[in-house]
Amino acid sequence: MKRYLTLAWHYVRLAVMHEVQYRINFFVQIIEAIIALGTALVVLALVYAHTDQLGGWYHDELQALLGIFTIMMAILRMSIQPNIERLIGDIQQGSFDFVLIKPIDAQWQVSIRELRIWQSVDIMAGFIVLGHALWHIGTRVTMQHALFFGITLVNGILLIYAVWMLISCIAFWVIRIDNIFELFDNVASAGRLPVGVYPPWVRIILTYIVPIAFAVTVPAEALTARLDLPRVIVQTAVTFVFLLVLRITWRRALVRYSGASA
Amino acid sequence: MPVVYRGKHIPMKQLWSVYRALTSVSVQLMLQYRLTNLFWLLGMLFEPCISLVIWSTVATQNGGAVAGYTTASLTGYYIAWTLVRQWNIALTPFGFEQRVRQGQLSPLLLRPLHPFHYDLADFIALRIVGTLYWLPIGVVMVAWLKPDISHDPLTILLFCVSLVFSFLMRFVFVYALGMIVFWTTRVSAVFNLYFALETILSGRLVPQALLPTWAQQLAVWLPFRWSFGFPIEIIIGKLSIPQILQGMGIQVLWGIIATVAFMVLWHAGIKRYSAVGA
Repeated sequence: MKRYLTLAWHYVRLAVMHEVQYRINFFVQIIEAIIALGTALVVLALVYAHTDQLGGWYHDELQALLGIFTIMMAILRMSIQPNIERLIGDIQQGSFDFVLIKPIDAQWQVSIRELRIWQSVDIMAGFIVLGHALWHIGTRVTMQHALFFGITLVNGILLIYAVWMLISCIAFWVIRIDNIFELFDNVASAGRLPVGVYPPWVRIILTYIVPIAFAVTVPAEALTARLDLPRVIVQTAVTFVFLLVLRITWRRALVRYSGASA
Repeated sequence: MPVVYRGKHIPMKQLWSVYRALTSVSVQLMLQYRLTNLFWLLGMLFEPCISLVIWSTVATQNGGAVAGYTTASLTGYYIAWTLVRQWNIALTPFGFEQRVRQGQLSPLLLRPLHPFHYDLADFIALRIVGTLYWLPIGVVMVAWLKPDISHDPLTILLFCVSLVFSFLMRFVFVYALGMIVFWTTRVSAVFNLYFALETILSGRLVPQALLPTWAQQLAVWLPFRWSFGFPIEIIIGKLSIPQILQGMGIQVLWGIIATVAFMVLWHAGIKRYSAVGA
């Protein structure tokens, strides 16, 4: 266990040392975060100029959801996506061999190698929007809500990780899959809205196939006092199932891998 | 002495056949990547879907309509959106920045025609392929979702013409914007701000009628809405024939302004261009 954490720590250190070379990217990231969030907030303002609630969600509540969505997408771009890009590149070029010969679990290794630290600006921005929204809502966030929020947020991150990794496992069978990710990025943008707003069949896709609903809507429900214990348990169970499926698929994929030139 | 690059002058008639040849080559190149194209098109459908879900929910909650848009006309708006979005794709300043920064512009300058012609031909080809892919999806959406879309042949014809106008106008406009790169290559923030403004004011995010009044008035004086919201409003029957003709005049006007701006900026900028590594 300690070996795994030490390795992760070293990768983080390396990534930070690499990224602080490009300090200007920090400011670029700030400006881009402001523009992206600004546009999203304009949409919300426009919607609520014409109505006072959307599928039962009020302005501040949807703003809280937007904050969580921003945080999730930032984590996706900070860690999950760059790692997957590198994994797919490795599979295509055969340098995945070097992962396999190291004496540590391969899935762990490919999940921690990359980190884009400047994306943390977006995480911060997401928390600012979230904090502002919560302050406006005014209801006291109880210990229980905070606890539910913490659990569901971590579950959400793990869920997104599992789904994205599952797709990248396809690369072991079909080499060229760049487009699938582009498609999934677009599907993920559906997380901007609470899943209850969508038509039922879309809701099912967003819950059990691309569980962006579980990842974004559920933590937001925790903070707006819409969440009870059974749903937290269901979300945790779904997360566990996805991680398990990923593990099984990963093992099969490793058996399938034969190097690029072999 | 720097050599001022002007590009060879060729007569209109020859230009037509040059464009035909270049476009057909590009079309054939693009048709090789059928799956890529399909995924790309499918990915582009999500943005309007989300907007449509939001605004039809609002319309239903408000008793059937929001700012004059019923659910059926909103559906029409966002189906037309998917086609107009296709025709709105241009060579972004980011693409041009990459060319200048990596010195890729130099070989383009050695070709017999101005680089603009090759790019335009390429993007016309992309529109043809994109529309071919869009047609079956569009037909299915119209048949399935039963949107409020004009069936009048004249309106459809005017829509097609304004679609081509909006493409040409935006293409030249964005191309001209890219010329800033000749002076500085650290402008991605400026471009992002420009595109964010465009997204909001063009009708890509929401129909014009849903914006606050002051923003609607502002949008009339800016080019954005004329290359996006305007053709959509034609096909869903929001505009009268005089309004359509007037709008097309404005499209042409913006096209001319963009062309002049492009020519001035190109001539000034290309003198400053020294290839990376030279």
